[in-house]
Amino acid sequence: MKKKQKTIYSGWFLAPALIVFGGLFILPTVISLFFSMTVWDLKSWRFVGLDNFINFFSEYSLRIGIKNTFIYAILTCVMKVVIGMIFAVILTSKIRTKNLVRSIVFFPNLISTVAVGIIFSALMHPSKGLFNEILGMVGLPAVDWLGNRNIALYSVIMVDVWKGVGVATVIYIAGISAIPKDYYEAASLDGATGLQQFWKITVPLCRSSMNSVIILAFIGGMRTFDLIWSMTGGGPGFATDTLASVIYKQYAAGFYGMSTAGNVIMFVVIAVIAFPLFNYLTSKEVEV
Amino acid sequence: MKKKQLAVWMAAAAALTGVCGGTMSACAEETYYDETVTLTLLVDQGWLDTYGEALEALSDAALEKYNIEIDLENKTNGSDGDNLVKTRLAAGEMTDLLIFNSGAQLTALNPAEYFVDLTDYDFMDNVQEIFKESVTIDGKVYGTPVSSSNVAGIVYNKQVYEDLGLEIPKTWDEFLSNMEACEAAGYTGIMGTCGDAWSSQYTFLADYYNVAAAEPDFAAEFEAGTAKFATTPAALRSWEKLSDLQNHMNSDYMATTVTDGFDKMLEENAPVHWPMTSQFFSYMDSLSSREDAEMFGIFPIPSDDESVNGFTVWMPNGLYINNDSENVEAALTFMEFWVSEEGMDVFKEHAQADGPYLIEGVELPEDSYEGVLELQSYFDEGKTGLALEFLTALKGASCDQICVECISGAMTAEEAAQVYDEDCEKMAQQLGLEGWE
Amino acid sequence: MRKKKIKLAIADVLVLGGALLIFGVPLYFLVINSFKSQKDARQLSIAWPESFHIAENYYEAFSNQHFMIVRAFFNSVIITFFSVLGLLIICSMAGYVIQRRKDRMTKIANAMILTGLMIPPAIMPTIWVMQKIGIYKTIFGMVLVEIALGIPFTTMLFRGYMGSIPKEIEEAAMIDGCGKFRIFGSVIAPLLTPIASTVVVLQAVTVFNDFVNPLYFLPGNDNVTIQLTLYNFMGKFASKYNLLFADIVLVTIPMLLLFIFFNRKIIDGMAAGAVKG
Repeated sequence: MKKKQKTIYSGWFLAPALIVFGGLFILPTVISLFFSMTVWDLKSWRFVGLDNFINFFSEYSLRIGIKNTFIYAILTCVMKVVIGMIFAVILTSKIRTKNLVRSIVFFPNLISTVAVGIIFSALMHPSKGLFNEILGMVGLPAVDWLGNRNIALYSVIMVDVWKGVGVATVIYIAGISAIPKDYYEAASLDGATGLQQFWKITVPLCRSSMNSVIILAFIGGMRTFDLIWSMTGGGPGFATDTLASVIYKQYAAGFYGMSTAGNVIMFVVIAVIAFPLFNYLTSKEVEV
Repeated sequence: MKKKQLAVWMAAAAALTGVCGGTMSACAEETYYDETVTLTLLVDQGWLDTYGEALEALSDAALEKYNIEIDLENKTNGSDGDNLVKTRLAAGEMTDLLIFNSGAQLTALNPAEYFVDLTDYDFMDNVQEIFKESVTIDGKVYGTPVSSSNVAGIVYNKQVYEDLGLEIPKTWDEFLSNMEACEAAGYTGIMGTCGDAWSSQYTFLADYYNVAAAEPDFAAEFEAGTAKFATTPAALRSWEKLSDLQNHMNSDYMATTVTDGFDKMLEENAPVHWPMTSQFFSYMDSLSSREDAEMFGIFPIPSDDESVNGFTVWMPNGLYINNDSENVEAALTFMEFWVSEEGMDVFKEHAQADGPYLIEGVELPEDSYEGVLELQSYFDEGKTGLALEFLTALKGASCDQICVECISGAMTAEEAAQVYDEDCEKMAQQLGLEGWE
Repeated sequence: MRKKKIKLAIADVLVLGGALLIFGVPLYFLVINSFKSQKDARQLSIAWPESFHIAENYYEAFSNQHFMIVRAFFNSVIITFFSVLGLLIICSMAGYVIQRRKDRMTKIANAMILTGLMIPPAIMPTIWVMQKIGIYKTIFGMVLVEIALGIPFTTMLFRGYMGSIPKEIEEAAMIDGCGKFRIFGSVIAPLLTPIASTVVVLQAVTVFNDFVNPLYFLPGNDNVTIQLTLYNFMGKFASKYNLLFADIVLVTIPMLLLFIFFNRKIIDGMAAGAVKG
């Protein structure tokens, strides 16, 4: 058995991936471990030990940043998991326009994140934006979507979900379409309601799709940067800073060593959470 | 590619035959390149929006006169753009010429390593001393000014001041009561545009004239780590002024952008004041009209002492030459042309001044905005001082965000000053300044 | 039966209407504002334009900075094409072997995929490495970086899809006397077409819309990529919204076409466990 594996599934098939990924991803990451302990300007470096880490932890915005990162990752993840599922169920039903609607739901993915940020900043403008005009029309008070420090983060989260829910929906649709139709027919004959069918058949059987959505959305949320940067720049004040934006700002200030240290810390934080989460989720999967 | 090789060859030939050797002049008078030399120039979009036309005119003139052509590369503004410049310098991929901030932000680029030392060139005599100081690091001069100077203070609506019979305030308390008078008449006291965090810094930064009036050595002591914002009363005052604005701003100040600001200043019941730079006038002109721009004036951030009343001045961006460029000689020729009277005539024809120019013998044009012409008297009377960022390399990286926190009341003035001091400490350590270990 | 039909029709209208409201309005806003004058567009409203400036705005966006967008478009298409092609080849092979083999090597490969999904790339060290091997600031280097960044997710997709292809296929081919490369090349690869379509759309969009990476790894005017043209209209003091929006529309069209072309196949590719961890 082992021998056959080696003959058909030769390790050579992995070589190109290993070379490119190893050379341009793993290697720089390993190097970054060293440079995170230096003051560095690409040409020369000065070893400073753990100073960068200490400085990074004393960064004023760090505590807010870590808290925001978790809120962001968890909320976008939960919303994509739930809303994506709802969309997918609707779009695998007997609705006639489902193909058109599937395309519409996926469409935001085609627009670049920066452009999405620009569009929504405009829609969320406190006095001129469409959102507040609509609120005004139904007699509700205007909301300062991006200017209010208690709301800004959630506004960005909303936009993130708007942009990303399409991929989650597609993943779910693929999962649901793969469930054999006779399961539902059998359940119908037994008199199960639509809701019961959803909980007893759909949810458990597209577990692996759900896991994919969870992992992708959660990791994407932890690393989030582009959208926040183009919508709020971490503001107002420090209210929407995340780990990634704090790191980026160090980098922009020319603190390459310190920003690299931040990267290392972020890696550790994500690894500590995502690896166990991943293992937990895969251990719960049901084969179809 | 061919062009570049040729240029290298020509530069080498010139050096060998000694055409330009010996004297430290770029020998502009005689130079006319047989083959067009293309110089790449990196500049940010914000600058191009205002001076793009003037730069193109200069480029056309240089093409005719020297056969030198400028190829523009534009970058984004703000920290993204600064970041790009740093990355490209570090990676050895800078353009031949660069337009970039003078002062602290230039120091952060480590110019000694990347830019041509201009100290001994004759054409530098045309550049005023005050500008040279802002591009001098360790006794070496690295840049020439690319536009006029500008000041920052409080832009105000002259019409409203006249209607309400208000006087230009001489003290901060008078200013606060002016705002209250405006509010009583139905106007908004002052504009807040925290949607662009950088713009929230002006009240704080432009107050430096007053800080320096009380503590003349603050800049040096601050750099040495012996004076702090939180513990120097005159400097803490700047933060207090920032937090005084809190209840006088437009209600949506947190998300209002600078672009919005220009429209808002013209609305009914508009804000009467806006802490801004004197670049306000040219932007108002381009976004709206000259008439609208002339409706406004600018006064300095008031101090607590009637007799102290002056503007904090910003130096314009500088033009720098990449050390590693293959076309250093042509770049010097272009630079010399720019700071010559002839070059400045071309420039002035296509650009408006935001304050006095920094080239010897180049006067503020008479058709400048009234608000800008009024500045001249402050300069003549010596009631101006440089902003802190031109006196020390030390500027905290999160200054803009801390200003927003202070202006919005999320931090008290004391807290903001303290957080900013810590922010500066990190920068000092990165810069390797003495006394901060 | 009739009642059911009516119910379905109502649901139809509701779903389509809801989708258009949530996803259509922002796009309508984008397009309508790209038709307005600069002053009108600064109002950021969805109102009908006071006057139409369609040709003017789009020509301006198109011709800005000496037709920069043309060069940018060319560069982006090249980078996108080769990155996606590279990813298809490299990751289909990797996904195939990783899914089939169950030994230490697969464990390591899986861990690497997960790591790659999780950690943000270290930009400065990457530049440092690229400089050392002389591919910094080249289209080739940029393509390699995009591939490196795309490998984890793409390999994950291929690995998942391989799960739905029975092992017996290779075993039969081996008995027929095919070599290992022919088994993959002529037997397995054709079966991977559905997931390949998914990869094409998802990765093409990612690479084409990449804003940050070209900024660092591919500086210089000759190398400008399409997303960077957005910068041309975002000023420090004043943004030209009408042109900015026109540019966003122009920049989005190529991906829209790609999407229309591959639309049907995206979901097929994700079928049954395709994106299983």
